[in-house]
Amino acid sequence: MRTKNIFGLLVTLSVLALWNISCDKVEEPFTRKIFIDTTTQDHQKKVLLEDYTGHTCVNCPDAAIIAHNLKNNLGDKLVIIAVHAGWFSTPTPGGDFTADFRCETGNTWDATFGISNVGNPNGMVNRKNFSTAEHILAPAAWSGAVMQALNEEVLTDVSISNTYTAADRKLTTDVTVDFVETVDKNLNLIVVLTESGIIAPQKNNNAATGPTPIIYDYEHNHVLRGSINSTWGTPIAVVGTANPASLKKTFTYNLSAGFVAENCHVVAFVYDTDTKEVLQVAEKELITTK
Amino acid sequence: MRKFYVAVCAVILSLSGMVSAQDLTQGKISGNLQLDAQVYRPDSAIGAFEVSERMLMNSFANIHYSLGSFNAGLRFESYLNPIQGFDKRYKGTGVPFWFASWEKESFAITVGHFYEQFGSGMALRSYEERNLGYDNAIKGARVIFRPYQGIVLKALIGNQRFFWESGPGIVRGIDGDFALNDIFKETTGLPRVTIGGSFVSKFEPSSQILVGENGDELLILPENVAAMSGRVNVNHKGFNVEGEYVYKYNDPSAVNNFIYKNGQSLLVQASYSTKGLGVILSGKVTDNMSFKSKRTEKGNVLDINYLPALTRQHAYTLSAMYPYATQPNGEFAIQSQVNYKIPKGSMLGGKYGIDIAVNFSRITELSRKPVNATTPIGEGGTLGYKTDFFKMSDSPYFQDFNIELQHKFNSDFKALVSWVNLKYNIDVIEGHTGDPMVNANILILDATYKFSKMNAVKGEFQHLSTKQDKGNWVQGMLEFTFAPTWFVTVVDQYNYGNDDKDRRFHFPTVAVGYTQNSNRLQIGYGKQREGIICVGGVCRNVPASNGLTITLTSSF
Repeated sequence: MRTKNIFGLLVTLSVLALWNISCDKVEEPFTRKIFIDTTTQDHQKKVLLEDYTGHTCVNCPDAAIIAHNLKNNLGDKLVIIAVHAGWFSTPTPGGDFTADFRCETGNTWDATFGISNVGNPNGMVNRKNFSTAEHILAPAAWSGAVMQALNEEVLTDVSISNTYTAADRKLTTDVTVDFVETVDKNLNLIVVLTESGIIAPQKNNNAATGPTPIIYDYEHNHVLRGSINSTWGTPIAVVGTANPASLKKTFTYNLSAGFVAENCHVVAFVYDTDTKEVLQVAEKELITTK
Repeated sequence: MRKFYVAVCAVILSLSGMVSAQDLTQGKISGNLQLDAQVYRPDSAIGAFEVSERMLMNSFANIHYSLGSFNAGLRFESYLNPIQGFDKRYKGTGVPFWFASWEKESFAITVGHFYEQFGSGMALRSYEERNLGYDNAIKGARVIFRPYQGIVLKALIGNQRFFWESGPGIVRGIDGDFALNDIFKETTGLPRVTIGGSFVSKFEPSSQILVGENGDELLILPENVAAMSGRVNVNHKGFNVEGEYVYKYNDPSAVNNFIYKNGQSLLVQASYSTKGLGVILSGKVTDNMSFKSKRTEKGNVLDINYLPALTRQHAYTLSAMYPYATQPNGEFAIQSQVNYKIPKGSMLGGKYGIDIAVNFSRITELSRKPVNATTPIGEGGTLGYKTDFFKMSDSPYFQDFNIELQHKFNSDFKALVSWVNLKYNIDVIEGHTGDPMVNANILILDATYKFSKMNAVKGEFQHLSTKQDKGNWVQGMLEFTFAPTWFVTVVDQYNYGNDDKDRRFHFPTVAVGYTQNSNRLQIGYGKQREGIICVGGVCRNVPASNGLTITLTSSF
């Protein structure tokens, strides 16, 4: 009996101890306003957020809002690419979703990173952690990952200069990569075209976001329209070879007839070909407005 | 991988230390293997897109060693690359599961990976379901302590499996089970009563998650989230009554849109069984009970708990076409089942009797109200909503009424007939926003005839009628068994009722199987429609495919 009493006491103390250390009760308010530093530095780390989406994906409008809010708060420090790929981006034979926002580059990226296979919406921030399968981030995880990435070391700077002639719809883009630190990695430069302000139907299941089940006049932004150099980019650094202080690459691209040049941007990013991680990114509108 | 080698060395060193005490050659080794491979042909008409690898493969092998009270084992897995419908993050080869365990007097200790369940699983359940590609094994340590007859205490700590890595959260739990009749021995004639309880907690470091209209409100996140449960089971003669209640503290997560409402779930079941009759009544209410060890995950990964679906799991293809997926954010479910056997020798029952099963289940949304006049229901960074826990709303998620009769006419011939009436909220369950409720009636006819001692033929006819979704389906199947070695199956599914005449496809399949003792090889060729596989309310999407399938199983 004495043994049982001691045992009972031990169990009770263990449960009480576990209770006290194992639960955080949060009282209202559950949030606090944060100050987001919008100042930029000479060598400013910028972050790439890829939103893998589709026009029949009912939860994707809410994800786009998360990306949009981050962009509003961070400005040029954040670059968004909306990749339409996978089942939810497939055009329907008839009806409201005949538009095709997919492109070969987006399809290849999606197949490689397996985003839509997991589900939409999902995305990546600087394509980090591809080797550990932790690269796929739900929209709820985007803000934390972006803030963390902004604090990382700046190894390169990327700048873009665009010249566009409307007559022949020809774009000439000069992309300059400056090496801020010595980088002994295999690096490629990817240059792509995105378009915003595309009005087309989008499925939606959140009445607070817009009409359900379909937002007919939905504004699709940052839509990946295609690569300007190639899907996996142009080599700019090789392990064991000294980096130049700066290098400049010039590319030309013909805009497809359906693209609105005033709504297009060139996005260029440098990434490590071994880990796929993006080191730096930049974005520039095709036509500079004053 | 390095950690695995260290673990294997630790096990080997442990074993070598035991050599002096026991002869390792007296131990027993057992294991099994399963390999599934598919070769894909593109068929854009049915939505089977090109697979660049042409062939995909899932495989696993368990190897288990036991010597007295010592057990050790590992599971080798290889996905090169994962079969369509399985998460591509499984791609690769390795040993994601290994363990060593031993029992010494009142203690049983496990180190490495293990599966565990507390009560019904609503507070904690780690398990694997290969067909779903689901595995939330815990990697850490577990102690089971039996200090006295009728008392079982468990304690565990670990991280959960996340494909080839571990999730970020640490899961801790304790559980106690008390069989009162065994503890207090003088209970002859009294009902058998078992009570239990558990306490489960997870730790996950805080992260920056922004909410609010402008995305500038930072959530104050609890790093430690706890759930506790109590349960009771009373069994007396043919009656059994059991219940479990779970309460979870604030757990803002991607699944519940980061609300701070506490969660709770109540499961009760009463049953009666006697020769020839069984009756089960069950009810479950769940409110905000998703419990994951990573707060930003939404898929079928890193679940700490398991919320059972109070629905019948159908075995036939067309009756399983619309399976229910448990809604962790809230549901109200009831289920009843009556099994009755018309006695053998009776006029109606004939020589062998007739088995009758009647089952009904209904699941609805919870009734929710705003917390105040200015906060929309479910808004992140708030308490979310209020609910009357015991009130069923008028918004149904799922309803299933089915009757099944089985009868053996003579030693060579038996048959089954079943009718299912389903209501399936495809908007909520599959996310087909705006699509109407699917109302379906399914008829199943299944007969098996043994034309010799070793040979039999089985035929199935299934028909599904509905005016929603893809319309009517019909399926026919013939299976020839040449025991103990061969079987041949021919199946065709036809979507003859599709509103789009160009999409009225056939899905034929032929399969041949060969069995040799504990080895079995099955090869099939044909088309498979897009669909959903669900086990116990957890589901996986299966894309359409066309091509060859190979399945090999072996055990030793």
